[in-house]
This record gives sequence, C-alpha cells and structure tokens, in this order.
Amino acid sequence: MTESPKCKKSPFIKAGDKRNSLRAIAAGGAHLMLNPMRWTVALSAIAASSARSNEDSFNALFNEITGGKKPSESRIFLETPRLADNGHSAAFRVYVDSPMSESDFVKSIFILSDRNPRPFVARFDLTPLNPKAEISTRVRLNGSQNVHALALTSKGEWFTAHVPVEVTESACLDAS
Amino acid sequence: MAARIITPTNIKSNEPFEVRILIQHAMETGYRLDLMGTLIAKNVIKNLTVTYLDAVVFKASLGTGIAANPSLQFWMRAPQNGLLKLSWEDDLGVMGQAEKLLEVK
Repeated sequence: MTESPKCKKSPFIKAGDKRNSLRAIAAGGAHLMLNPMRWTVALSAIAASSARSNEDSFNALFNEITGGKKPSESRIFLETPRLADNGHSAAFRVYVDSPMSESDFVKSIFILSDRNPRPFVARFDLTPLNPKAEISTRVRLNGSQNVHALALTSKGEWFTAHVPVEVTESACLDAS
Repeated sequence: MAARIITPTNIKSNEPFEVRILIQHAMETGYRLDLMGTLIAKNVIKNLTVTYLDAVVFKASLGTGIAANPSLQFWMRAPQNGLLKLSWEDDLGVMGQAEKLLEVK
C-alpha cells in the first residue's frame, strides 16, 4: 500500500484535534489515527521524563551543596517579577538578613533553578567588607518554575528560600 | 570583551554603596545552534573576582542560568581612595579585566 501525502503529515495531528482526526479517517486507514496518537504519547513521555530529570538533578545539586543538611527556611528574601515576560533575562534580587560582622556574616549565596537543564545558576562569595548581603542579577529561566536561593553563614548555618516565577517566553526552547 | 563598573558619583568614607558590574559576554548555554546547524559550545564566565585595595570584596562563579551580558550588583564600603579591580575568566580561558578609581569624600 502506498502512503498518501496526508499520511506523511499525520504525525503532526494532535490527539485532541477533532477536525483533523475526521479528515484523517476520511483519508482512510485506522493506522492513520494510531500514528498521531503514538506520536503525542511519545512526545509527552519525553517532556515528562526531561522535567523529572531536571528536578532530580536539582535535588541532587541542592543536597550536594548543603552536604545533606536541612536548611532553615528563614532570613532570605527574594525579589523577582511574579510574571517574567522574557525567560532569557529576568531580574532577580536576593537579600539575606545578616549583621555582616567579622563574627557573623554570609559567606556564600547560591541561586538554583528547579527546571532549567542545568540547575546551577550562580554562586556568590561575600566577606565582612560587604555591608549588606544583597545581590541583584538577571537570570535565565526555562519555563515557569521555582527559583531557589541558599545561603551559608560563617557560623555554618544554612538558609533557603524559593520564589515561583511565571515565564511567558521560556529560554532554551528555540535553537536560535 | 568590554566591561563596566558603575558606582555612585558621591561616595562617603565608610558609607555603604552599591556597585554594578556589566560585562559584555554571550554566556553561551551549549544548547544553541549556529547558522550551519552545529552546536555552539557552552561558554560562561566561570570565575569573577572584584578586589579593592588588594582585598577581595566579591567573588562569583556563574552558570548557564545567568542571562547574557551579565549584570551583577553588590554592596561594599570604601574607607579611602583606591582602585576597584574586576577580573574574570570564561570556559574558553579568555580573561578580562576592568578597573575604576574610587574617590572617597
């Protein structure tokens, strides 16, 4: 049986698209219906597994940084637009409540993302020469997600916070 | 690669002020394709150091999660006039420097 041009197009018909499905039936052959279904299922499985692996690598990195310790969810304040139009560049500010004295200061601040292909965003090292533990930067976000911050003080305490960001146009999707 | 260090014009001795660093860098993620369809290698600023009077005041290592042309802001104090020096290195080993004289009133 030779394949019609319609048949070749079939992988791009969405499962829920009734009009295209009917057209596919009209073109004849039950396999035409099966093909698009298989494609959609396969694609969603790939998407789900990559989202899960991103989350796994985030959790692994989080535990690697803290050395398995459970950070307390306090003293860090994050500021970012609730809705970031452009995932290629979203303003991000992290502030840690600390006296920044010789005996008690914030040594390191980590920024992590739980859905980027690489969860590590940045690490900043501060000293008592900094009067405030506050950093502003611009981050790349691959879709709506939580952005996490971790802070280590000179006393060895860990603090964490996260903020949800909605991203309209995500980074990393296009190959341009 | 050009870089800029932006500080307030009016710095008072030992008063906190915010420093802003802007570096021209593509911060390649390693996922982009060029016109021929080949992958562009990952290239980000892996190490960045700011010193003032030869003491380190700020260190950063950036990942692919930082937007192209990184902008970084942090707080510091300056007790006296001195040179604020910025240096960085990216994954390809390209190094860059910038400096600015802080005039303290």
